[in-house]
Amino acid sequence: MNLFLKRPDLINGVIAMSGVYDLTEYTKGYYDDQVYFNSPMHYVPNLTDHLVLEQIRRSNHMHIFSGSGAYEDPSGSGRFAKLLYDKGINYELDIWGEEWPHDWNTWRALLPHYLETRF
Amino acid sequence: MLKQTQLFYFKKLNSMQRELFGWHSPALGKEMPIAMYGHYGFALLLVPTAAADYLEYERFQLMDMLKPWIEAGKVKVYSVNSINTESWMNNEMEGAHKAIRQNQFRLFAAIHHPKHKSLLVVLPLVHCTA
Repeated sequence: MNLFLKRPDLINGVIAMSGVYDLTEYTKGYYDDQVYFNSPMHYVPNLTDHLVLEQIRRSNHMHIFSGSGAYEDPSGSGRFAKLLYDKGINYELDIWGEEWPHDWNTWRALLPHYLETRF
Repeated sequence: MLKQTQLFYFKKLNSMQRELFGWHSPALGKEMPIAMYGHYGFALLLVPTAAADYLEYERFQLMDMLKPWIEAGKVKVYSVNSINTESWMNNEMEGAHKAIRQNQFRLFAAIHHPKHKSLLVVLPLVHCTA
Protein backbone atom coordinates (compact mmCIF):
# COMPACT_ATOMS: atom_id res chain seq x y z
CA MET A 1 0.00 0.00 0.00
CA ASN A 2 2.79 2.38 0.96
CA LEU A 3 4.57 1.70 -2.34
CA PHE A 4 1.45 2.53 -4.35
CA LEU A 5 0.66 5.68 -2.36
CA LYS A 6 4.22 6.90 -2.92
CA ARG A 7 4.21 6.34 -6.66
CA PRO A 8 0.64 6.52 -8.03
CA ASP A 9 2.20 7.87 -11.24
CA LEU A 10 3.97 4.55 -11.78
CA ILE A 11 1.69 2.01 -10.16
CA ASN A 12 -1.96 1.54 -11.09
CA GLY A 13 -3.29 0.02 -7.93
CA VAL A 14 -2.85 -2.30 -5.03
CA ILE A 15 -4.25 -5.54 -3.72
CA ALA A 16 -3.54 -5.31 -0.02
CA MET A 17 -3.84 -8.80 1.41
CA SER A 18 -4.20 -8.64 5.18
CA GLY A 19 -2.05 -5.53 5.43
CA VAL A 20 -0.98 -3.42 8.37
CA TYR A 21 -1.18 0.32 7.66
CA ASP A 22 0.13 1.68 10.93
CA LEU A 23 3.90 1.27 10.90
CA THR A 24 4.21 1.89 14.65
CA GLU A 25 3.00 -1.70 15.08
CA TYR A 26 6.49 -2.67 13.94
CA THR A 27 8.71 0.10 15.25
CA LYS A 28 8.49 -0.80 18.95
CA GLY A 29 7.99 2.72 20.20
CA TYR A 30 10.40 4.43 17.83
CA TYR A 31 8.91 7.36 15.94
CA ASP A 32 10.37 10.02 13.65
CA ASP A 33 9.70 11.64 10.27
CA GLN A 34 10.85 8.53 8.42
CA VAL A 35 8.33 6.40 10.25
CA TYR A 36 5.63 8.99 9.59
CA PHE A 37 6.34 9.05 5.85
CA ASN A 38 6.13 5.24 5.63
CA SER A 39 3.02 4.81 7.74
CA PRO A 40 -0.13 5.33 5.61
CA MET A 41 -2.30 5.56 8.73
CA HIS A 42 -0.28 8.63 9.71
CA TYR A 43 0.34 10.49 6.46
CA VAL A 44 -2.86 9.86 4.48
CA PRO A 45 -4.98 12.26 6.61
CA ASN A 46 -2.44 15.01 5.82
CA LEU A 47 -2.20 14.48 2.06
CA THR A 48 -3.11 17.76 0.42
CA ASP A 49 -1.20 17.78 -2.90
CA HIS A 50 -4.00 17.92 -5.45
CA LEU A 51 -1.93 16.27 -8.20
CA VAL A 52 -0.97 13.30 -6.03
CA LEU A 53 -4.48 12.89 -4.64
CA GLU A 54 -5.95 12.94 -8.15
CA GLN A 55 -3.48 10.29 -9.28
CA ILE A 56 -4.52 8.09 -6.36
CA ARG A 57 -8.22 8.75 -7.02
CA ARG A 58 -7.85 7.65 -10.64
CA SER A 59 -6.95 4.12 -9.56
CA ASN A 60 -9.81 1.68 -9.93
CA HIS A 61 -7.82 -0.92 -8.09
CA MET A 62 -7.44 -0.18 -4.43
CA HIS A 63 -8.46 -3.47 -2.90
CA ILE A 64 -8.21 -3.67 0.87
CA PHE A 65 -8.72 -7.20 2.04
CA SER A 66 -8.80 -8.77 5.47
CA GLY A 67 -10.11 -12.01 6.89
CA SER A 68 -11.63 -12.09 10.37
CA GLY A 69 -9.89 -15.23 11.61
CA ALA A 70 -6.78 -15.68 13.76
CA TYR A 71 -4.13 -12.94 13.59
CA GLU A 72 -6.21 -10.82 11.23
CA ASP A 73 -7.14 -7.25 12.07
CA PRO A 74 -10.24 -6.34 10.03
CA SER A 75 -10.94 -3.29 12.18
CA GLY A 76 -7.49 -1.91 11.29
CA SER A 77 -8.37 -2.25 7.60
CA GLY A 78 -11.66 -0.50 8.31
CA ARG A 79 -9.93 2.40 10.05
CA PHE A 80 -7.60 2.83 7.10
CA ALA A 81 -10.48 2.68 4.60
CA LYS A 82 -12.20 5.46 6.54
CA LEU A 83 -9.17 7.70 5.95
CA LEU A 84 -9.41 7.04 2.21
CA TYR A 85 -13.13 7.76 2.30
CA ASP A 86 -12.48 11.11 3.97
CA LYS A 87 -10.08 11.98 1.14
CA GLY A 88 -12.60 11.10 -1.55
CA ILE A 89 -10.54 8.13 -2.70
CA ASN A 90 -12.35 5.13 -4.14
CA TYR A 91 -11.49 1.79 -2.62
CA GLU A 92 -12.90 -1.65 -2.09
CA LEU A 93 -12.98 -2.89 1.50
CA ASP A 94 -13.46 -6.64 1.44
CA ILE A 95 -13.76 -8.37 4.82
CA TRP A 96 -14.10 -12.14 4.87
CA GLY A 97 -15.37 -14.22 7.79
CA GLU A 98 -13.84 -15.85 10.84
CA GLU A 99 -12.94 -18.98 8.88
CA TRP A 100 -10.22 -16.92 7.10
CA PRO A 101 -7.07 -16.50 9.25
CA HIS A 102 -3.88 -14.58 8.51
CA ASP A 103 -2.42 -17.46 6.52
CA TRP A 104 -1.57 -18.79 3.08
CA ASN A 105 -4.80 -20.71 2.55
CA THR A 106 -6.62 -17.40 2.68
CA TRP A 107 -4.35 -15.68 0.15
CA ARG A 108 -4.33 -18.75 -2.11
CA ALA A 109 -8.10 -18.42 -2.30
CA LEU A 110 -8.16 -14.63 -2.52
CA LEU A 111 -5.71 -13.77 -5.28
CA PRO A 112 -7.07 -16.07 -8.04
CA HIS A 113 -10.57 -14.90 -7.09
CA TYR A 114 -9.51 -11.28 -7.55
CA LEU A 115 -7.74 -11.94 -10.85
CA GLU A 116 -10.95 -13.51 -12.12
CA THR A 117 -13.49 -11.02 -10.80
CA ARG A 118 -11.67 -7.68 -10.45
CA PHE A 119 -9.55 -7.53 -13.60
CA MET B 1 -3.33 -33.69 -36.13
CA LEU B 2 -1.17 -30.72 -35.15
CA LYS B 3 1.82 -29.81 -37.27
CA GLN B 4 5.21 -29.53 -35.63
CA THR B 5 5.10 -25.72 -35.44
CA GLN B 6 1.55 -25.67 -34.15
CA LEU B 7 2.53 -28.18 -31.52
CA PHE B 8 5.42 -25.97 -30.48
CA TYR B 9 3.19 -22.95 -29.98
CA PHE B 10 0.57 -25.07 -28.29
CA LYS B 11 3.14 -26.21 -25.76
CA LYS B 12 4.54 -22.74 -25.35
CA LEU B 13 1.14 -21.24 -24.62
CA ASN B 14 0.26 -23.95 -22.16
CA SER B 15 3.29 -23.97 -19.96
CA MET B 16 4.00 -21.18 -17.55
CA GLN B 17 7.17 -19.31 -18.47
CA ARG B 18 9.40 -18.75 -15.48
CA GLU B 19 12.59 -16.76 -15.37
CA LEU B 20 14.89 -15.90 -12.49
CA PHE B 21 17.25 -12.98 -12.82
CA GLY B 22 18.52 -10.01 -10.87
CA TRP B 23 20.58 -6.88 -10.92
CA HIS B 24 22.80 -4.84 -8.70
CA SER B 25 20.64 -2.15 -7.15
CA PRO B 26 22.51 1.14 -6.65
CA ALA B 27 19.86 2.29 -4.16
CA LEU B 28 20.36 -0.75 -1.93
CA GLY B 29 23.99 -1.45 -2.76
CA LYS B 30 23.39 -5.15 -3.27
CA GLU B 31 22.31 -7.77 -5.75
CA MET B 32 18.52 -8.04 -5.89
CA PRO B 33 17.01 -11.15 -7.44
CA ILE B 34 13.62 -11.21 -9.14
CA ALA B 35 11.35 -14.00 -10.36
CA MET B 36 9.15 -13.49 -13.40
CA TYR B 37 6.23 -15.70 -14.37
CA GLY B 38 4.32 -15.51 -17.61
CA HIS B 39 4.64 -14.05 -21.10
CA TYR B 40 1.92 -11.41 -21.43
CA GLY B 41 -0.64 -9.39 -19.53
CA PHE B 42 -0.64 -6.62 -16.99
CA ALA B 43 2.24 -6.60 -14.54
CA LEU B 44 1.57 -7.75 -11.02
CA LEU B 45 4.38 -7.07 -8.58
CA LEU B 46 4.43 -9.31 -5.54
CA VAL B 47 6.11 -7.97 -2.44
CA PRO B 48 6.98 -10.74 0.03
CA THR B 49 5.36 -11.14 3.42
CA ALA B 50 7.23 -10.02 6.57
CA ALA B 51 10.91 -11.07 6.27
CA ALA B 52 10.55 -13.46 3.34
CA ASP B 53 12.23 -13.76 -0.05
CA TYR B 54 11.38 -13.56 -3.73
CA LEU B 55 10.58 -17.28 -4.10
CA GLU B 56 8.19 -17.35 -1.16
CA TYR B 57 5.03 -17.16 -3.26
CA GLU B 58 6.25 -20.12 -5.27
CA ARG B 59 7.02 -22.20 -2.16
CA PHE B 60 3.60 -21.55 -0.71
CA GLN B 61 1.96 -22.63 -3.99
CA LEU B 62 0.44 -19.26 -4.76
CA MET B 63 2.00 -19.39 -8.22
CA ASP B 64 0.29 -22.74 -8.84
CA MET B 65 -3.02 -21.12 -8.04
CA LEU B 66 -2.33 -18.22 -10.41
CA LYS B 67 -1.16 -20.50 -13.22
CA PRO B 68 -4.39 -20.45 -15.27
CA TRP B 69 -4.36 -16.64 -15.49
CA ILE B 70 -0.63 -16.51 -16.14
CA GLU B 71 -0.82 -19.09 -18.91
CA ALA B 72 -3.79 -17.34 -20.46
CA GLY B 73 -1.68 -14.17 -20.74
CA LYS B 74 -3.93 -12.14 -18.48
CA VAL B 75 -1.21 -11.35 -16.02
CA LYS B 76 2.58 -11.36 -15.84
CA VAL B 77 3.88 -11.73 -12.31
CA TYR B 78 7.09 -10.29 -10.84
CA SER B 79 8.29 -11.26 -7.39
CA VAL B 80 11.07 -9.35 -5.63
CA ASN B 81 13.06 -9.84 -2.46
CA SER B 82 12.14 -7.98 0.69
CA ILE B 83 14.68 -6.25 2.91
CA ASN B 84 12.51 -6.36 6.00
CA THR B 85 15.19 -8.35 7.82
CA GLU B 86 17.40 -5.29 7.28
CA SER B 87 14.75 -2.88 8.50
CA TRP B 88 11.48 -3.21 10.46
CA MET B 89 11.94 -6.91 11.25
CA ASN B 90 15.48 -6.55 12.53
CA ASN B 91 15.59 -6.30 16.31
CA GLU B 92 19.28 -5.40 16.41
CA MET B 93 19.03 -2.16 14.44
CA GLU B 94 18.29 1.34 15.60
CA GLY B 95 14.96 2.77 14.55
CA ALA B 96 16.45 5.49 12.36
CA HIS B 97 18.56 3.01 10.42
CA LYS B 98 15.57 0.77 9.84
CA ALA B 99 13.69 3.67 8.32
CA ILE B 100 16.58 4.65 6.06
CA ARG B 101 16.89 1.10 4.77
CA GLN B 102 13.16 0.93 4.14
CA ASN B 103 13.31 4.12 2.11
CA GLN B 104 16.11 2.65 0.04
CA PHE B 105 13.86 -0.30 -0.74
CA ARG B 106 11.14 2.01 -1.93
CA LEU B 107 13.66 3.65 -4.24
CA PHE B 108 14.76 0.26 -5.48
CA ALA B 109 11.23 -0.89 -6.21
CA ALA B 110 10.21 2.35 -7.88
CA ILE B 111 13.31 3.24 -9.82
CA HIS B 112 13.96 -0.12 -11.36
CA HIS B 113 10.62 -0.62 -13.01
CA PRO B 114 10.20 2.48 -15.16
CA LYS B 115 9.43 0.41 -18.24
CA HIS B 116 6.50 -1.35 -16.60
CA LYS B 117 3.92 1.38 -16.63
CA SER B 118 1.11 -0.70 -15.26
CA LEU B 119 2.48 -2.27 -12.15
CA LEU B 120 0.13 -3.52 -9.53
CA VAL B 121 1.46 -4.10 -6.10
CA VAL B 122 0.42 -6.83 -3.75
CA LEU B 123 1.45 -6.16 -0.21
CA PRO B 124 0.69 -8.90 2.27
CA LEU B 125 2.35 -7.87 5.48
CA VAL B 126 2.35 -10.73 7.93
CA HIS B 127 2.04 -9.86 11.58
CA CYS B 128 5.35 -10.37 13.25
CA THR B 129 4.94 -12.38 16.41
CA ALA B 130 8.63 -12.91 17.11
